[in-house]
Amino acid sequence: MTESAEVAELSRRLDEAERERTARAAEANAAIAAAQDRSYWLDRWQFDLNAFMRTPAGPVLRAAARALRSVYRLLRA
Amino acid sequence: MPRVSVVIPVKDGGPLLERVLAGVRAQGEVELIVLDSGSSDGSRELARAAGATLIDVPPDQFGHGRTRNLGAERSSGELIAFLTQDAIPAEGWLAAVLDGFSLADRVGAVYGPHLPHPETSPMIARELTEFFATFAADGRPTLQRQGDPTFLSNVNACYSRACWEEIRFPDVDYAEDQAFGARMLERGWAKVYDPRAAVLHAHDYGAVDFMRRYFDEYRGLRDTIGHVEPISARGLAGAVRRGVGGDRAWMRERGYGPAAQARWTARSAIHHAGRGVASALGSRADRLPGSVQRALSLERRGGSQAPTAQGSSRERPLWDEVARLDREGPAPLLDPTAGAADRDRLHIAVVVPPFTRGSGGHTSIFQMMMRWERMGHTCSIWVYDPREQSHEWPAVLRRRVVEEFAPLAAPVFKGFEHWYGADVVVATGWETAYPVMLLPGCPARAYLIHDHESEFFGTSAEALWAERTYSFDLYPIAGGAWLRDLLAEQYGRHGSWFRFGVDHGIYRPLDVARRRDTVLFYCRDATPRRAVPLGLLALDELWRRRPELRFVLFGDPVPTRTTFPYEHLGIASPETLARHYAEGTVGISLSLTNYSLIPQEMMACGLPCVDLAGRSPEAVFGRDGPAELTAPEPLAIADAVERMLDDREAWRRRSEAGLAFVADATWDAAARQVEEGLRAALRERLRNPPAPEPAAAVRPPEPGP
Repeated sequence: MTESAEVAELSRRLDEAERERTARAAEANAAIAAAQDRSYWLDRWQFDLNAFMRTPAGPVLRAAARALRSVYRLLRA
Repeated sequence: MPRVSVVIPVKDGGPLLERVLAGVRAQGEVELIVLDSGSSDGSRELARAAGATLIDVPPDQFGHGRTRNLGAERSSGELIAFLTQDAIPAEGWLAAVLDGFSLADRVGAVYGPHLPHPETSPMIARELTEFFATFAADGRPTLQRQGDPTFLSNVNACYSRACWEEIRFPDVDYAEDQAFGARMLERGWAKVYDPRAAVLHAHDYGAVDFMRRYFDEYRGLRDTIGHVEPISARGLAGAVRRGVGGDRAWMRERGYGPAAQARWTARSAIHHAGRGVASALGSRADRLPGSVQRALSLERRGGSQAPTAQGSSRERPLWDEVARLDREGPAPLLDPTAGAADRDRLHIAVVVPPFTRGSGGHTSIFQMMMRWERMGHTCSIWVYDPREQSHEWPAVLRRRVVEEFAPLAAPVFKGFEHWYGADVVVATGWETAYPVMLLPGCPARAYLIHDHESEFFGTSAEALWAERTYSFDLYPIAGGAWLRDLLAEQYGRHGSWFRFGVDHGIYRPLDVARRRDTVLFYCRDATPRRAVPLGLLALDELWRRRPELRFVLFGDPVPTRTTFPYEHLGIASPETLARHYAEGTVGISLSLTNYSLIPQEMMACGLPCVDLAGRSPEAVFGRDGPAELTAPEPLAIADAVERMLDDREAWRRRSEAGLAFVADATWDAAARQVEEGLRAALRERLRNPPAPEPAAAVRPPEPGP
């Protein structure tokens, strides 16, 4: 491969990498926007669910939810 | 002219409304006005059947003070009585009100007691009765002047037109009547409490809703008259003990049976304890997060925030950015790859200041971003808020962008903690230029300049800092030719420019009758460059010349104090504005720096607009183009409006020229122009050395005739 051909090939690969990077940014933007749409009410109430689940009350709530879910499933079955 | 106008704000008035309207009609001849905020329960039909004049108030524009001011403006009586949709006037109410005004000179308001319904709970019945008894211990009308209680309630109050015109209700979320009462006494007016001017009115809620109601009430009192309810465990216990004891005595006097007494005693304890807690919380609401306030409020209102600290510390975060840029210098730019400027898809990161509904600059930015996304680009929004003006979290900000400005797909970030670079980062205001200079991971930076912002300030550090941004290594994209030329002449900056667009789907001639008497004024008082005082003086002059004219003011949520009557639209939706533009006769929008979006939107509806000569409007519209330009003097502006009112031929010429001027002013075109500017920013980076080159800059065609 000549030097100029190698430069052209590198340019092509660089351009491809740049396009790939922008495509990834677009996917990331779309994913974040979708996540924001899903978490609207948590943000609206300024409620950090992750922080809450790290408190002692978090596991209690989770256990209660599991118990309710199992009762619900039992009744549905 | 009727002696008395009765004004009733209504939203789904329910079964009591019919009794209220009948109660008013039974008093005698009055003008009856119902201000309806989107009722769907038959209230509108009831109002019409009662012979009321029905005025529509869009629910998003309702405000306790603002809407009542509108009712007063539309009424014609020399006395204006306000009732609520659940306050039934008792027999003799109107006669007592009229008597009250003859009790002394300068009586500005007459009000009366709220009587409980037979089924009202003993706590509320006693509270109402004992509260109003304090105003007239001997049961006779009482004159109140400065130093006396300021209490006034728009559940049942009547005002003299002269007093209302002088004071007007403030545009507050709650307790506009209390604020009015305090102010009128300060101004030397008197008010009269007459026990005979009574209405049947009592709010009976469940225990929890009572607490929330008190929370709203005391939050309003804090906002309007600064009252803070004291709280202590001992004080609360005492209040509950006294309250329950009082209720029990009240019940005994009125013959309640033992079972009823026992039941109501328990409710009474809960009621008084809840009231103590809720009133203390309400008057300290500014310390609570918006979400907690909303949860505690019966009106579901996030309400008052802690007032922003004034003074030096307020600017501290921004100073940090200014100092950091001085210390560290700009973040290094990435080397753009060949062809980067011509790639079909770019990641465009846009840094914006916090926004409020109706902001013209944000409308322009988000409208264009939506179109960039349609072109295939991906965008992200970064809100830079050094003054912490916005307390909302990112998902809420994103929802607001989508609902209030444009349906964007972009995520919204607050601050730069999660910054991940972009092909081009765009500053959109002078403050945002500082963090943009510090952001890494970008091959190019651009500056979307909507106005010459250093002119917004007096002699100050802010003026210097704003001016300095025009010399930053940011590719400038100016909003309009006037601004482009200014940047070139004053700062030697040569970039590209774009023309503001118009949403022709909304702003267009509508099928509504054009009035001959209506002057619309863009009264954005919070924005000094819109020369509101100048416009108000012009309107005052017009009102003196032609008192029959109808004035409609918009653009600011807070009504402006004026010497003339007007209708206050607040920050109206685009659809509402378009309707007013389509039926109005002349618009006034004054621009001391760069022109605003408003004149073009007025023109798109066929409404001739008066603006200032010798400034950006002249550069944009031309000396004798679609706008009626005039000297920045009140009488000259009034003359210009009169020309449009009287000279039908001149009106038609301006209207047609306006429609032609804006025909090709679209957001699609603006988005393309700015997109070209962003590509030019990348191209400029590819040049070596990267010196600005005016001849190569993107130049859209000259707008206008």
